[in-house]
Amino acid sequence: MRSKIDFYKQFFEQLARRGFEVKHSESSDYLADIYHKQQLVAFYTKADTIEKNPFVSTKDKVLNLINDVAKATALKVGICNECPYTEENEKLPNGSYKLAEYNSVTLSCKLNHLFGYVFSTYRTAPDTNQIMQRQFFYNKEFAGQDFAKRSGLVDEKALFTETELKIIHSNLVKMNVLDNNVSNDDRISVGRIVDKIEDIIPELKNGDYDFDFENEFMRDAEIEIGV
Amino acid sequence: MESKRNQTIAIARFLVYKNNLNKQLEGMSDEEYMKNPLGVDVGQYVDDLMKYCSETTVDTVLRHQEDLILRIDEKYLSIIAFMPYDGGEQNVGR
Repeated sequence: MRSKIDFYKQFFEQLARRGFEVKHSESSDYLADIYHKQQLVAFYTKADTIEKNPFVSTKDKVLNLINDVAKATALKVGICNECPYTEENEKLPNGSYKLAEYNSVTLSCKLNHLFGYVFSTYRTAPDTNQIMQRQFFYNKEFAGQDFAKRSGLVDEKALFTETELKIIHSNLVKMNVLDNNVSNDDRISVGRIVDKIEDIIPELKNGDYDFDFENEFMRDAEIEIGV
Repeated sequence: MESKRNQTIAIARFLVYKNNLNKQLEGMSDEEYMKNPLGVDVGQYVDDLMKYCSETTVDTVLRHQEDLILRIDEKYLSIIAFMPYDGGEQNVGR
């Protein structure tokens, strides 16, 4: 999960899949209103909590279902469930735990009721100790990488971005498939690099389809448009 | 079971909607999203999917949506999405 937007995109979809209707909220405190059988049963707040509508009697199982969908979606989009700190880590005034500090840049972590262990990196102003440019992460690896870059522990220029890695991956795969002039040894080396990139970005591995949707879709669509 | 034509159109409309949504959300920060939450109305398209497709198909489309958009191609999907449903428009517009 890169940002909370990844969660919202799937959460509203999954609620609809389970028969809930989600609408824009008129209130600035809420992100969305959640309806069940045309009754406004709950609000999704901007603090990522689900609040029951006090003016409508709703069965607990309906609210539990909304909460379960939220938790299942958060797990699906990939949150951190493994506690990265102990009581020996310094506890900061906002309740988070300091994991590392270097060059006035801090990496900290706090447990969130829905998103598990949420990480943040920020700079501290040397004179005022004011916290600046705080960025949140829902994935330990991304947080660690950002801390290393911001603090200067690693040189950003020596790293590839994910987009660059995807381009390299796609071209290496093409080369291995299409280029007949590549020697066997080089092909094996390229295969190892492709595997390594897929380990870094698992979504590049081909997912298996349990349903031949593509074939079905194309065939029907072609009939419809008279191809 | 609903007609194959309606099934195909419902899937295409959902995928076109999600493709446009993904483009709008690209590079958006959480703070910006909070001010203008997009994608809340996805339910209209999911409702159509559930109306015209089997549950298995709905789940498959939801699970593989990004891959399907990439493979089927945006232009092709748009052509299908703009077709009217058999029996007239009942749910989401185009």
